[in-house]
Amino acid sequence: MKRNIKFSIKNHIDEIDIATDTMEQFLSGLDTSLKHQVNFNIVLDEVLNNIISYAFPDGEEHIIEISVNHENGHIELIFADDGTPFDPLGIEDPDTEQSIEDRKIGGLGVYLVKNLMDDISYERRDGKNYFIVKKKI
Amino acid sequence: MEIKKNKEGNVQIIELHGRLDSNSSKDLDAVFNELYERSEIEILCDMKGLDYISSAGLRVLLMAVKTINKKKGKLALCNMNEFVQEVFEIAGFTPLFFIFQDRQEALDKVFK
Repeated sequence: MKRNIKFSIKNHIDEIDIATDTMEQFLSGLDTSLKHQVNFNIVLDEVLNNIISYAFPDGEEHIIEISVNHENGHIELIFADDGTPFDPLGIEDPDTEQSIEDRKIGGLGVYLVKNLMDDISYERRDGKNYFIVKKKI
Repeated sequence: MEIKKNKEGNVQIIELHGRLDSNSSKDLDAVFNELYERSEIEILCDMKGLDYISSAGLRVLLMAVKTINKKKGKLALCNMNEFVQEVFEIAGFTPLFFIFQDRQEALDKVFK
């Protein structure tokens, strides 16, 4: 069975809740575990927070498009934005073995996404960033 | 997210309810700052009502433990659900904090 939805939010932190609520509704129709719902919520928070915080140095209002595709037991999320080119995969993984004093927080969001999803990728096409994550459910 | 505060002896207890994410983490940060201003540096974070945490929440907790250690205070966490525990494990945060099953264990072992 194949199902998909597409929606968009503005580049404000408050709008992330719209994305997590929409995703929860989508997943509730698929009989997925609570664990998957939580993991997708975390991924939406991390990816959208990164885009909203770093992609738009012009300070203008922008639209971020989110596509959700469910096919053959896999969920794919595609985030598209017209912001400055930014490849999250280029961020170095944090050193998760460091002591409290030395620990830095940078890169932790993308690192969580990498660990919670099966596959992540990035493309720059037609002036847009496309960030794609996939997970077997 | 909803944050409730109450006190048990000298220990300030912060109860977290809902999601600790990009949107709500600034509220928790504000609560910590308000406690430091009152020199409340013995703090137990009860996560019983916490659904999940993202890196924005981890950032606030890391800043809190750094600040509280510097002030010679104590910060402990308790009642984490499996999703919060998993994020702590992935991020390598588990060894950085005093983490307990429940409130009583934290009070007995850290704040005596």
